[in-house]
Parts: sequence; C-alpha cells; structure tokens
Amino acid sequence: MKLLEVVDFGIEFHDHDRPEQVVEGVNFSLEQGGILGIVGESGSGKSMTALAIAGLLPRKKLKKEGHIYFEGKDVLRMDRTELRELQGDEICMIFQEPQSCLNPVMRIGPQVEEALRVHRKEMSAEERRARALERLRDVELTDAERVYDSYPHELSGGMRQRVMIAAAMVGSPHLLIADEPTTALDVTVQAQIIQLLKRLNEDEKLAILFISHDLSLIRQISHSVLVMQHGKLVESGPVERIFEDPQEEYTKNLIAAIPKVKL
Amino acid sequence: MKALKKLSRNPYLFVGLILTVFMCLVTLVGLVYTPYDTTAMDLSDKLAGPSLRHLMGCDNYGRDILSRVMEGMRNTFVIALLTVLIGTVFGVLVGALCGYFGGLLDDILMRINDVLFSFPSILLALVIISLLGTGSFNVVLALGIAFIPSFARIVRSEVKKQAALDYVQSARLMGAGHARTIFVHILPNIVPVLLSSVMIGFNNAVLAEAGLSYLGIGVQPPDASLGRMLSEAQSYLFTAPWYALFPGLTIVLTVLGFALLAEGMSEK
Amino acid sequence: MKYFFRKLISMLLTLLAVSFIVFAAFAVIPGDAAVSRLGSNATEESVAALRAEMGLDRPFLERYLSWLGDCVKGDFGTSISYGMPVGQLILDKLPITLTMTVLSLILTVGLSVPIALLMCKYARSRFDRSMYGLNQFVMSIPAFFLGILLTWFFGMVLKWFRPGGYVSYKKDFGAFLGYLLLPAIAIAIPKCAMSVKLLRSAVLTEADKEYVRTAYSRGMSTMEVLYRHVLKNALIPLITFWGMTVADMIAGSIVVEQVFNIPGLGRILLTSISRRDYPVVEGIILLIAVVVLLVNFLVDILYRKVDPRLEDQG
Repeated sequence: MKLLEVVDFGIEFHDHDRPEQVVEGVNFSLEQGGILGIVGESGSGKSMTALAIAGLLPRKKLKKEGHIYFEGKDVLRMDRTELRELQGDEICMIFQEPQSCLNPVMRIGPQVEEALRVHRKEMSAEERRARALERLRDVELTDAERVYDSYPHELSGGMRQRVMIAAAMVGSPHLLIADEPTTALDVTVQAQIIQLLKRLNEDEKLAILFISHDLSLIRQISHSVLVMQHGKLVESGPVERIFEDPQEEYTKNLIAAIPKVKL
Repeated sequence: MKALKKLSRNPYLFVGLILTVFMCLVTLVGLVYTPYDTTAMDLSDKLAGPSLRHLMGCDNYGRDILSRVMEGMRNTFVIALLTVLIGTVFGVLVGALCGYFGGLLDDILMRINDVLFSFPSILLALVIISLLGTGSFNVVLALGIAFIPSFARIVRSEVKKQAALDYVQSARLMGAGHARTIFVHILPNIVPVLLSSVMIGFNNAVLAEAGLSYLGIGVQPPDASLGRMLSEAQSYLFTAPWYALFPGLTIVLTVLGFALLAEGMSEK
Repeated sequence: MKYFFRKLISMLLTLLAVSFIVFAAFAVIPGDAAVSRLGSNATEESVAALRAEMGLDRPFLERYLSWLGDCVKGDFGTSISYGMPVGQLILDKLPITLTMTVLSLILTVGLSVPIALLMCKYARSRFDRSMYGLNQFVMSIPAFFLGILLTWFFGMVLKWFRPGGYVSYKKDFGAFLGYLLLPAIAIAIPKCAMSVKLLRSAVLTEADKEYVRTAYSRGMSTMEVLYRHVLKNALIPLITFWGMTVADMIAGSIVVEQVFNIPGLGRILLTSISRRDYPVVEGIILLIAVVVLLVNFLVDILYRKVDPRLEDQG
C-alpha cells in the first residue's frame, strides 16, 4: 500500500459570485520513505494541494473533489475527530515563515511538545520535555536547553525553522509536508535545512512532500518530481528523468530558467 | 438607489439611522410642541399608568411623562452637543499644536493630557462642578473640559501621522505657513476619524449628563432631565415601574442609535 | 528591573503633578474656606483671624508644600461638615468602593472571555451575529439605569433581596459581598459588553495568523487552539482596556452606589460637593488619582510580562 495516494483531486472556490476552479484533476502518489518534490509558480495550486493533504483547508466556501488516501483512508472524507488524530501525529507540516508560525508569546519548549500533549496523553511532563530536548538535538540545535526556554523572537531564522522541524518530528510522523520551508532563509542556512531534511528521511524512513518554486532545491532533495501549472499537473516522474529529459514545453522552460552557476 | 442598496446590506447603519432620525425628530418636535405642559400638575393623574391619554403615564405630581421625556431629550441633546463642541474645538487646537510642532510643548501638554485622560470624565466633571457650582451651564462647561483630553489625544496622533506624509512636506516646500498647513492641508484629512470620535463623544456626553443629573448635580428642577427623572422615579419603582422605564429606555435608544450609526459607518 | 524603576519614578512624578493641579484648583475657587466655615455674615476680623489660624495668609507655594507634607504623612486635613479627619473618613469607606470595583472587574473579565471565545468559535454564524447585536444594545445601557432595572426585577418582582438594604463589611463580610453583588453586576455588564466586542475582534485578527494554522496542524481542536494560543495574544490589547476600565468602574461605583443606597465613597463625595467641604473632595480625588496611577503602573508591568517581545527593549 502506498503511503499517500492522490486521485483526481480538485478544489473549487466558492467565496465569489462565480465558482473558481483552482486545482483540477491532480494524480500522484508517494511511497513510504520517499521524497516527492512539487514545483510550480505561485498560484499553481501546489500549496493548496499540500494544505488539503494536511487537512488544513477550511471546510466552508470551497469544494474538494476526488480522493486523498493516506495509509488507505480518504482524508477528504474524514470527520474532524478522525482527521485530528492524524494531524501532528502521522502527518506534520512546516511552512515558509518560521517567524510567524511560532506563537510569539509562548516559549519554544511547550510549542515543540504540543503534538505530544495532544496525541500522547499518557506521557508525563518530564517525558515530554525529555523527548522535546532529544528532538531539538536531532535537528542540530546544540544548545537545546537554552532554546527550550527561549521565546521565538530570541532565535535566528534558521534556528526557528529547525525548531519547527523538531516540533513536527516530535511524534515520529510518517509524512512531513514542507511548504517552501527554506524560502525565507539565507542561502547557507537553506543548504543546512535541506541536508537536515535529507538526513531525517534516511535515518527515520520519513516520507517528505517538498513544495517549492525553486527547481534547483527540488533537484537536490527529491526522489521524484511533480510539475504543476494553473492548478493542473504538467508532468511527473523520477527526478533524473524530469531534469535530463523533460517532455513538456513548460518544464523545459522552467529548467532553462535555472541560473547556471559557474564553479 | 445605490445608497439604498448599501443601507440594506448594512443592518447596523440602517437601524442606527432610523433610531437616530426618530430620536432627533422627537427632540425637534419637543422644541415647539409637547402633548401637555411639562410642568402642569394634575394630582388626580398621580402615577397613572400608560394609557391613550398619557402614553407613558404620569409622574408623582401627575405630570405627563412623555412631555417631560421630550423636554429632557431636548436638554440632553443641547448639553451633549455643546459639550462635544467644546471638547472638539479645544481638543483639535491642543492636539493639532502638539502633533504638528512636537517638542517640549508636546511633551508637557500630553503628559498632563494623559493623566486627565486616564481619569474618568464624569469624575473630572464632578470636580469641576464642585468648584463652579451646579446648573446646566456649569454642566456643559465641566463636561466640555472633561472631554478635551480624549479629543486632543486622537487629533494629536492623527496629525502626527499626517504631518509625516509627503503631501504635507510638499505643501510646506511650496511656501504654505504653519497655520495654513495645519488648517487647510492636514485637518480636512482627519475629518473622518474626528467624525467617528465626535459620535462616540456625543454618546459619552449623553451618558455623563444623565449620570450627573441622576446624582442631582446636573440639570436643576423644574427643568426636566432624563437622569433626574430616573432618580425621582426610583422612589415609585414598586407602584409605577414605567416611570423609570421610559426615561431610561429613551437614554438607551438614543445612545444605541448613535453607536450603531458609528459602527455602520466604520464598515465599508 | 530598570524598566520597573523608571516607571515607578514616572508614576511618582505624575502623582506630584496631579497633587499640584488638585491643590491649585481648590486654592483658586471663588469663596474663601474661612468664609465658608464662618458663614457670610462673619466679621472681617474673625475671618482674618481664622485665615491666619488656617494658614491661608501664607504664600501659595508654601501652603502647597506644607499641605503635600501633611498628605504624605497621611493627614488630609479635617472635614468641615463631618468634623473628623478626612483620612479616617475616607479609609472607612474605601473598602466598599474597592470591593465593588474588584467584583466588577472580576465579573467583566470572567464573563467576557468565555463569551467572546464562544462567539469566535462560531464566528459569523447566526449565534455570533445575534450576540453581536445584543452586545451593542447592552453597551448602550447606562450602569445606573441597569441598576434600577436590577433592583426592580430582583428586589421587587422576585423579592430576592431588600432594596436599599446594606450590611457593613465590619459586621458580616459575606452578607456585605451579597449586597455589593448586584451593584457590581450593574457596573460590569456594559463594560463586559465592550470587552466582548474588543476581544472578539482581537481574537479574529489573531486567528488569521500563521501560528494558529500551525497549531491546527498538530491536531488541536478549535477551543484548544483558541484557549492555548490565540487567547494570550488577543489579551495583550485587552489589558490596556481593562486597566482603563478600572478608573471607569470607580466612577461608575460612585453613581451606582446611589441606586442601591450603599454608603460608600460616592455618598461622602456627593455630600461634600454639595456642602463645599473641600478637604474631603480633595482627599477623595487624590486617592482616586493614586488608585488610577497605580493601576496604570501595574498595567505597564503586566503588559511586558505577557508580551515577551517587549522585555528586551530597555
């Protein structure tokens, strides 16, 4: 069984006078331990798709079509309670702006532990703390104790994104959805975060859905790639095939637009 | 037509407009006509309940409550309007000067202003009345002075914001003097903000006047005032609850009308 | 800590300024205190003698300083109409006003938070909209009219209590609290409506922020997200409002006291105003100023405690 299988997925907006189709007929799947990169410009529907998989799209004002099977169960047909059991435990998500994704008036520790508080009610406060510290060290935050007691504004951007990853990984999920996780970071920090995600993928058999507009990043991290435009799937395949032998005009243009760095 | 469509989409504006227009109309009518003489006593009607003859019933002297409510509304409106006028004029002056020039003057005035602002206006008015003595004129003066700080505060921050904008700088470059810059260029731009604070200020003035009159230091008898009627009605609460209800409801509806109007106008 | 002392000093300086304004205001009033004590038909010699005795013939600044010195020592002068020290007179009534204010504040905060959160949970639903309208209506009711309505309903229709009754806090604190409950409710309800309105809009602003989406991505329920994440952020602007409300509540208690016939600070303030008993008025105003400034000070400190982002700035 595939870990994630998206079948004929579509989203229709209903908040204006006329319904608007923003995602249409998207099909793809992701194996346990695989890394799938979704690439596209803003407005291509990649982030909407990601939010739908994480169960984070609002229930009103938009219509979702098709199926999203996670470990065989359709996320789109789940009720809130069922969905909440998956969220933060099996499926986790990190976002573009680690700054605004952390609660500014809450210390880091409780935020990292939060998924445990929700899903592992049997754990004691000390066990939760120990687990959170362990995860903070796993994401290469050496000074874990200090970070644990810090407020978000006291950390750098790269540290904050590491914290977000630690918080996502605290319950050992099967799928991590990373929506433009490095866009807001410096280039050097970007590379470190990519390395970290790759290591977590190898060490823990973590499947990653990596969403970015940056093809060179996608190439570095992904096993397979999905190209999207205007809410539709353009083409998909293993990373080498897409980059060596793109079939569609749009993909070719995208690849041609990658700045070539002379070494 | 467009305005009507806008109204139907904005229930607060709609209800607020109807209430306010109605209350203003009743007040205006009260200037020239009341069903009965407001001071005419008829002891046979003492504490009579609402009826067709006396729509709101009669008070403990047999005076028609509706007529007295109308007179009370007139007094309340006049006092509230004058209060807001004093508060706005002086508030704008102080606020504009402080916001525009800044510096030491701004520091000192705003320091005092902040202290006065954090003091409840009804208490401030109480102190001023205790110095000046009671009576309608002194109530206007006291409340007017008590309302200056809140207006000054708003105007100052708005003027400060505007003064930093390019159009003010270019007006200055083109040789406009300070007074011209403030009054011709800046002030017209803060009218919308000022208008909504005037409406809120009017409501606060109505409430403060009612409170002062209820305490017996506002409008003095035999002039009718809603607050004073409430305090008189309290002794007859058991036998004639309507005596308290109608003046009280009048205050509530007046304040509600303006509040909804302000709310509706802030929504686009 | 540096911030704490800076705020403390600024509070004391403001208090000094307030005391000067109060003293100056009462020093320039028409009608001399000596005349008002002796009556208008007193002889000029006896007025002059009393003026000298009261120290009214000394220069203004000297009088202010000696008055300020007395105030610091706790001596606010003697009431002309009550014939007792102002300090003692006020101290006797202060617990009534303070208890009423604290009760109202507790009611306001305690009621507005759950109501606002419930409205936000069902934001823009029919429930939320009708509550919003009701809220707007309640905001327009003056506290003293609400007090009259409560007296009529609970005292006369339901006969749950005896209108106009009161038990001193020295006799029976429980019964005392009971008699203060309705006045506190009358003061609290309009303020509560205002808090609900502000809190609702603050919560809805916060609810659009990204950390809320992060919290949902961890599988939390709406109420958990609202209470654990949104509330603390949304309360930051509310702290200032509640701080300002305390001053309003003290003022409100002075009016509402009269509705329920409670012999608190309001009663002696009003009596003193009508009898031109200025030392009492001065004392009460000064006391209220101290309370208001103290609350502002606490709000400043609390504000920084709640919002850690401010802590690092000097």
